[in-house]
Amino acid sequence: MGQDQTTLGGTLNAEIVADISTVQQSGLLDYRSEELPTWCPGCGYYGITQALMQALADLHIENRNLAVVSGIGCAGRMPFFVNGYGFHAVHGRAVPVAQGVKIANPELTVLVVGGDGDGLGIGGGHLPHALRRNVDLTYVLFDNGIYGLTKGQSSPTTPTGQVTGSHPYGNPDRPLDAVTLGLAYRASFMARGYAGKPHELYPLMKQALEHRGFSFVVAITPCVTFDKVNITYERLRELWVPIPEDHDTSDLGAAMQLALSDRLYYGVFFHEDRPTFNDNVKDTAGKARG
Amino acid sequence: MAGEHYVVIGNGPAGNEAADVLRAGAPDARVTIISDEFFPYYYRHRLRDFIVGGCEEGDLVVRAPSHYREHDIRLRLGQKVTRVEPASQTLFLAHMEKIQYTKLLICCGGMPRVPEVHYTYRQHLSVLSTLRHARMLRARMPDLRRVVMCGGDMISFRVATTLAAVGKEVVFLIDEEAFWPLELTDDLRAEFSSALGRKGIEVREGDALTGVDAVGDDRYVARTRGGAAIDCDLVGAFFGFVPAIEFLRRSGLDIERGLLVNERLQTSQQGVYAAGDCAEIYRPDLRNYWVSIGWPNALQLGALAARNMLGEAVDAGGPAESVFEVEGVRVNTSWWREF
Amino acid sequence: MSGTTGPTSSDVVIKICGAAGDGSIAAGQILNLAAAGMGYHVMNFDSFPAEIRGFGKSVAHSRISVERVLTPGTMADCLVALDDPHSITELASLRENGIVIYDSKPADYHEEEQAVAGWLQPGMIGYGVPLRELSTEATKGAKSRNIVALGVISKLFGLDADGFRWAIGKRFGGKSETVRETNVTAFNLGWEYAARELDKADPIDFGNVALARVENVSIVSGNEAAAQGCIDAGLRLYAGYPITPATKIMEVLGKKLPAMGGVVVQTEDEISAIGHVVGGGFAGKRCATATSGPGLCLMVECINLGVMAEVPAVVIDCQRGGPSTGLPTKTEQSDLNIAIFGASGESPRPVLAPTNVEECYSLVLKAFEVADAFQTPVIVLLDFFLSSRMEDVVWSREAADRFGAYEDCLATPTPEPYARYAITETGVSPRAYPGMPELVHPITGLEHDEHGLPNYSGPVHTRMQQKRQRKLDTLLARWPAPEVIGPHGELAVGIVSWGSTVGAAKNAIKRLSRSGMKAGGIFPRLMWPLAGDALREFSARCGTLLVAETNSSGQYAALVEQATHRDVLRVCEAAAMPLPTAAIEAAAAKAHG
Repeated sequence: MGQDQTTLGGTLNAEIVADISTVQQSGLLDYRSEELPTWCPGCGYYGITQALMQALADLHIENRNLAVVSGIGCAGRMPFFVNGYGFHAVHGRAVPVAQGVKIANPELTVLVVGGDGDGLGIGGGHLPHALRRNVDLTYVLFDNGIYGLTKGQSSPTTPTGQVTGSHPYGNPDRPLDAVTLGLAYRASFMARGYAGKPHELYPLMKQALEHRGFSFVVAITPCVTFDKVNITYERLRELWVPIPEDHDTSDLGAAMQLALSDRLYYGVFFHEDRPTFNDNVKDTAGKARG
Repeated sequence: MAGEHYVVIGNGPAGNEAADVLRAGAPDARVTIISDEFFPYYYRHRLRDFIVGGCEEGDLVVRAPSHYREHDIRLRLGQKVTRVEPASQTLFLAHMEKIQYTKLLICCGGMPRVPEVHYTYRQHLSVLSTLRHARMLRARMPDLRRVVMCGGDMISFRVATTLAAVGKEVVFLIDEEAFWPLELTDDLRAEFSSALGRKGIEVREGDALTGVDAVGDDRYVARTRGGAAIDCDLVGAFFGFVPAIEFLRRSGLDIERGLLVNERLQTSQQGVYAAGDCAEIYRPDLRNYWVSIGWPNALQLGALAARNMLGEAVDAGGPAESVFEVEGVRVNTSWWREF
Repeated sequence: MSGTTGPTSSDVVIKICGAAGDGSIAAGQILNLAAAGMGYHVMNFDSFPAEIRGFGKSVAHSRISVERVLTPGTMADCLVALDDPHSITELASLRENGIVIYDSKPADYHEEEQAVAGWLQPGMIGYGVPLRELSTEATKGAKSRNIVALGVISKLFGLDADGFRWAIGKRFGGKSETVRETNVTAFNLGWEYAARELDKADPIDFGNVALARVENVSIVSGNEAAAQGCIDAGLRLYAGYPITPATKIMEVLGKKLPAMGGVVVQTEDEISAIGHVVGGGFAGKRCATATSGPGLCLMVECINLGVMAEVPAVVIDCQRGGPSTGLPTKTEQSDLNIAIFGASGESPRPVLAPTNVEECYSLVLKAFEVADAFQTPVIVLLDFFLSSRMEDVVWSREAADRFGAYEDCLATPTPEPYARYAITETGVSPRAYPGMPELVHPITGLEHDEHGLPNYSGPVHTRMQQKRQRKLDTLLARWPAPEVIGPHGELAVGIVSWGSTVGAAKNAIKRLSRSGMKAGGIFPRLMWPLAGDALREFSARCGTLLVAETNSSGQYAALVEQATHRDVLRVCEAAAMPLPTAAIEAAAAKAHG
């Protein structure tokens, strides 16, 4: 799909029928429930979802072994649209809940989704420890720089100066950057993608799902309803730059430099193989049994 | 611990009067009484009634522990002083505690005297001085039929008549030891003998104990100088009292039989006083020491010692004249005062 | 002391008091083990220095009895003074004619007023024993004065010496043979000294009989029992955060669970802990956490989520003085309200409350069954007193079934789309969880329809609320009726109590009955749903209905009043300590007479 936006409706001409058949064969629909998403038309979340579905299809994850845990927010609605087990939990607590799911049954593929408020605000205290523990799951943080579901308040990643529901005279605070935080907490897999380029996001998702350990993927996306100024498709197109091919993903310092720069890099920043939480559990069990 | 500390060894009449005076005269000082008996201040003279069941332990108490709490007097019962060190103003207790004092009053009273000649069989002799003795005797009352009493001090006459009054057989051996350390005239002794005899007590005048054999559980045979071998259930030794001051032997205090004190009841060591049965008080007119015995003397001397400890300068005069009487027989005594 | 015809004592309270490092707690443990090994029942309630660097006082408090011990006893019969200055402060809790065992030959003279023997009151019996000397003889140091003292106790009170030697061997089982031997020597020296030198002046005599030989007995605290309940229930994941007085549960599980294939995670906070538990419950495994009041406040949100989404979870709350940070090392029973009602919206959940250490095991075991069977978080209320006191327990899963047996209701695929929240008569819907084929579905904290999809309509909300409530009604119908004791028919006073206060309440009823009053009691273990019928039935028999609990407003009393439509007499004190039997007895006597 070469376009930035997905659309529904219109008469089914032959081209579209062919597209539908392609889609069906791709297995994407295997992971879509019958529920229709409630996101606004033009929302970047559609692109992210598409990329995720494609990755799941490629990896042939069984529906019964898929568990999607979400927080509260527009991103939180994901579990209802996914054909798998879903847990729409409470605000900021998706990451702990997801860890519980995976630790209880390591056979499951566990996906956590949530917005920037959910993950960096109320849930911000859980993130460093989840990354430390390196439970094998995939966290996709839908970063749109705003609280969309509650109609447009500032979030931890809202740009300075932006006028929002909480800051009618402009946001005075500096925004956090999820990638910088993820690197500071030494995520064993840190990547950033862009909802406007789902075909470039999808390989990142696939890598993330395949990575043994806690994969942290930040998906930048516009909120077309509440931010028509700062984080828009137009502006992102200008800022967006792929991470240079020669970047050594095992070099945390270099990754941090990329994250701290003015450019909005996308791709895999950092990646290391280290024992997962479950590896450590087996280790501990061995020690305990003597 | 800061502040002045007045310590009194002995919880009898002397110690209690002294404590009252000290507390009144030094409201901010600490006042402590130490007694080796685990029982409050009690009437000694009621012990004989207690023994025969004429009264209970509660009736013996002069002052309950609440009195001491109210007057802020630290009462230590059942605690023995093992040593006094006047140089460092410290005294040491058997349970390994040490106490600093500013001034110390010793009124630990007397203990029953058992003459050396009776030592080989002393474990078979019963004495009566404290509540502990009285409890043991009271416990024996039901199966006690015959008692042999020897010696013949002041207490013994009263005990003998009390026992006889409840139907016990009493055999009393009166010899030269009677009324020790005073010597009675033969006439006076004879008068006491007949008085006792009128009470149903078998008196063996001029006879003395020479041996006691244990012949069973609480059964004895008392052998006398006169050749008798008396079956009995108890042999009582009533040879008078001596000051109970063994624990002071190495303290540097001057001691004869009792603690030697001057007219102000001060011992030879700075800050240490003595009063009551344990003391011998200097009489300048006699150039000698007089022994004060008995409850009323103790009350008076305890108070007087305390006044001197507080800084007054009061002399103990000589003892008052008094009369000791039993069953109509009277003895003038200046050194023995009863109740 | 020879030729006794048999034991004359059936109950004794012994306190061993020392400074930290004197071994008072260890001595208490050996004493308990010895007694329990001989078939006696024990209860232990130690107190420790508040400071971490303990220069403070350590007191081992043991009650040994022929019958199951209900309360630790306010006054001690015997105080063993391993440290004089600290022991002096314990004398206030020694009964009038109590016994003090002290060191007659310390290294040096005590300073004034620092010797415990200087504080004995008439009537008290002091036994001076050269503890330090005998300890040095046995072990070349003063550290086994505590064991020497046990020898004295064994001889004085007629508690079989072999039982002690067995307990010493067991207690020092992990150490070298030499350590065991020298400690037994220390014990023997104490015993021989007592035999040779002490004139027995006290009436305590257990007759040197062993009631039974119980080698598989454990002396454990409520917390340890709760942990064992988790293990025997097949706990898969424990996620927790350290908090007094619940931390021990995590520590025990941290050691024991890994070998059994379970996982223990110390999370970054209580919110994460309960999040993990609810996540794991969603995944179909038995998961639990333990906390205290302040932590429970943080957990309310996710417990609420579990109630709405019908996810099993077990939350153990070891109550302590509140509100807020409160009194971390003091006992209280003031979390009943938050356990039952803590939530936004109508959030019914089962609440269980054990009354003794064995029930900490049984009810925690049952909590998992109930959580799974009724697909809900279950809260188990312990309290500091129960968490830290120790009793003799022989583990038995069968015994736990006296609280009923509860099975899961699992779904099987049908041609119809799976309805996770299908409306049923019992309120319990057939359940699926991740891994089960053809039954995928979402769950949510939003109100939802039978398929788990968000739905805010009035009729759906009403139906779902009723369903969630109905689950609890079903539980109430299946759970055994609350324990009722006392004579049949009319009662002058009926006493209602729960949790750790039940011991004192039962004691009070015994004493009141002995004094001629018709007194009885009712003691629920299922606090919520409320056993309204049983309470009403009991109340109808009672002249006075008294509720005894350690919180100041009478949290259970309010529920009892609501259910029975009458005023109750509250004996409710939050005095930072267990409610004494005497307080309940006095209130009942006053009300009646």
